[in-house]
Amino acid sequence: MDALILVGVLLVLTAWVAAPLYGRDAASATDDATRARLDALLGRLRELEVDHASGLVTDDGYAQQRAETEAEAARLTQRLDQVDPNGTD
Amino acid sequence: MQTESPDTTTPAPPRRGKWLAGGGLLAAGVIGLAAWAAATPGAVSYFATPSEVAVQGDAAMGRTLRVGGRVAKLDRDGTVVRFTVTDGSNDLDVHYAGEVPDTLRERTDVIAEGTLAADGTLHATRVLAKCSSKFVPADEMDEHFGAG
Amino acid sequence: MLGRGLLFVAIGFAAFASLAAPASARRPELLVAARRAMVAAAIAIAGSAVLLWYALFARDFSLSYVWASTSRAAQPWYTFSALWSGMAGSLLLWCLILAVYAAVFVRTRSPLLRPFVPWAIPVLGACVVFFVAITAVFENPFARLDVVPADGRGMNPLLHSPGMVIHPPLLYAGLIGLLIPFAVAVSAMVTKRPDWIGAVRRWTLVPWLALGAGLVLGGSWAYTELGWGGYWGWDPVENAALLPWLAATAFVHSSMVEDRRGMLRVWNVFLATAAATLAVFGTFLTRSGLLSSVHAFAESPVGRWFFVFLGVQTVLGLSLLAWRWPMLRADDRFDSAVSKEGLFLVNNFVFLAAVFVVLWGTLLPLTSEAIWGREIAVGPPFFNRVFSPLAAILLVVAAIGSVTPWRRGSSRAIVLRLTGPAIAATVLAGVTLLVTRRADASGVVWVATLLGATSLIETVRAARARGAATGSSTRASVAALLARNPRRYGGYLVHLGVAVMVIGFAGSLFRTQTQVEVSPGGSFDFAGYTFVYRELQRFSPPDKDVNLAVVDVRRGGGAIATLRPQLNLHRNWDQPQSEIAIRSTPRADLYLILAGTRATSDDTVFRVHHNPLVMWVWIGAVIAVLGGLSAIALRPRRRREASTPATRQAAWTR
Repeated sequence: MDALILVGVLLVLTAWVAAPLYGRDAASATDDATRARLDALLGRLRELEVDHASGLVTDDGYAQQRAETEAEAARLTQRLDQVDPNGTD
Repeated sequence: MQTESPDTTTPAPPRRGKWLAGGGLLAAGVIGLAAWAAATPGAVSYFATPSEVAVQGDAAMGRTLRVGGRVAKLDRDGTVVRFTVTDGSNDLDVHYAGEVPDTLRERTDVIAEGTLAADGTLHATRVLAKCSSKFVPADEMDEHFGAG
Repeated sequence: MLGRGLLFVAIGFAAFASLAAPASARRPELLVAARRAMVAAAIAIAGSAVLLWYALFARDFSLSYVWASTSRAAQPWYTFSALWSGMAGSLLLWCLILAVYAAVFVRTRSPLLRPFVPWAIPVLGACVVFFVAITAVFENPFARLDVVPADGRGMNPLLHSPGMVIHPPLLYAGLIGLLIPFAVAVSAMVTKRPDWIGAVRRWTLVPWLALGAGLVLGGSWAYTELGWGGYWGWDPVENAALLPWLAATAFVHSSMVEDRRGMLRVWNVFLATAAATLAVFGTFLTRSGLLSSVHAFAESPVGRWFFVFLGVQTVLGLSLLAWRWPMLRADDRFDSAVSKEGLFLVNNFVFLAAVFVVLWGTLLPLTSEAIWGREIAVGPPFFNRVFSPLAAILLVVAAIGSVTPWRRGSSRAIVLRLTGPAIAATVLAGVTLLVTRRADASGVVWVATLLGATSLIETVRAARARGAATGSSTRASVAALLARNPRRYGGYLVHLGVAVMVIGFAGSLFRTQTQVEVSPGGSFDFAGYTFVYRELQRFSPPDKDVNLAVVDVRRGGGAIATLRPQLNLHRNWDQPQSEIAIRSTPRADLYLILAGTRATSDDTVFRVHHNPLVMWVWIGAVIAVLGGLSAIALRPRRRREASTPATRQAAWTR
């Protein structure tokens, strides 16, 4: 009885696991990674604002880091806008 | 551990040397700390069986020891516990007036830590009893542990 | 045997997944099949666990594990937790948690994480194969007894506590979860993708938090159930769980540097490997019987297989590190030692030192026996002495780090920023010194206050700045800060919780205890309290003989509390078990144990401990856990507008 159940479970699971090998599958999105990175940069910029306002970061440091962050964001934004067919994944 | 990319304007060796020196200093500091801690009284104790204590005789007098074996005879008298630790060939009397772990019973493994007094009894400051390593009910204990 | 058969089925699926996933570069559908196979393995193991639970609840004593773990009289919760009360069952729990973790991970929809799945699957699959094989082959939970007993032996009464229901699963969730970042790191090395750190952030924080909470719960159980008056004994089994947590904490911090500036890459691969290896090592120590400790399981042949697995894991991690060394070059250089990056680097070193010394102390008995033939034991004085200075450095570094910016900070600004907290710390430490006349306690108070004050002040300062900019109240701003930047402010909350815990630890320097024998009606004084022993109740419910002492606690003439410690002899267990009566106040705990009774009279031996400040350990832990949960669960809120070039540009110029 036990053996029967075991074989049954094994067959069902194997069928489910093997199914994709005989079907089709779609590729996943590629823009999402870039979008996620942009969000992270935005968050970092906000943090910078707060640090600067509370005096932790000097005016020079603030200007430099802000410029760098914005430059990278601009680069990523450009990539998104172009809808690169090869994807970034 | 390295975190800097190669810099074409500064030669590499001095920086690497600085890292090595720093790392060596740190390692030395940590080892020194460990050695200092190991020297604390009570930090490291030496283990002996009742037979080894018997063999060492007077030389072991006054030393801090951990003696391990099986509890042969247990006598709780109010706040004082007296028991004998045995390793099959030799016995050692232990005298203990502190917290008694719930797990301490006859025929269980025990480690008693303390100083050996002039009368050959171990005056224990700590007693560690192991939960039975095989989960065997009391009436099967004789079979399991064998005689003694 | 269905239960055991399902385990072998799981091994098959996990093995298939491990082989199919890497091959999916050529045939993508193999990856889908591999992911399904990991889920199938989890289903099979879950089925096996359900069968064991069923056997436990149905009291199927033909299974030796059921006989050993439960009895007819057992309550439902403890029948449930009986699954992990012994070696075989706890291994099955380990396999279950591992398989579920892996199954959830391989189905991740995160675009940052998906590229790493194909090569993470073989690592996780190999872990599943190993642990399930160990369980199915060596520690079969479904082993049968030849003669079916009428009733089970029942669980060790020491495990009859709510903490023991939660503690092992929580601990395992922590230990096992550390395998995920390790698998992703391996995948990153193999696929030459260095951007794994940000992707794996939550998968690191969750086990880190679970492990930390599990450690505290374990300490709380030891305190309330074991009766020696303390919560941490530097027992090898305790250390086995602490070591991976230390590595994981270092990793959580160090990964922030890589996420931000692409530095410390080599450190992070190393730390992820170390945390995962130490986690497996920890369970190996506990199960192989290698060290004698109060709660090590029985010795088992699995020891040498664990050794092999650990060897493979270590060699894999280190050799991948060496192979991909060039790829791991930092994106950037240190601008200055006075920076968050610099402090995080110091952090890494100190944590590494802490791991080293605790590991050394834990293993010294073994190596001493192996090399010199001398048996020794290493006790708490060693660990306390060696760990305290390192912990103090970590706390101070954490405080300084909170006020140090990235890239380049001004020493002057930092020192100015720390003046407030330093003054508060000195004041409190001075008071401590005056009251207690102990330098060690004052030192602890100074360090803890520095960190706590810094965390609080920085949060308030940032809230004020934000409040001024947006016109909202400080309190609302604090909440907003936490919501918008949960990583940083959740982190400050964790630091605050840790600081409070350290104050609690300081209390343990002032523990006192006494042992007395009293007759009913008698009383004794201790720690400024008077204890009146009213009576001894003896009664016998079905499963045990209970001795319950009723003791009134008075102070200054007035009654404070009535404590009822018990000493019980359970029918199924030959060792007596104490129920300790604890009265907790923020100042101190009164900890009363019924140590022994006489057979012929009601004269009773009591042991009393006075443990100052213990409550703050638990309060601090709760605060820290809340901080950790905030950092994990809160997503930084961002404006969800339609993402067009115009709005994106507008966001940057705001």
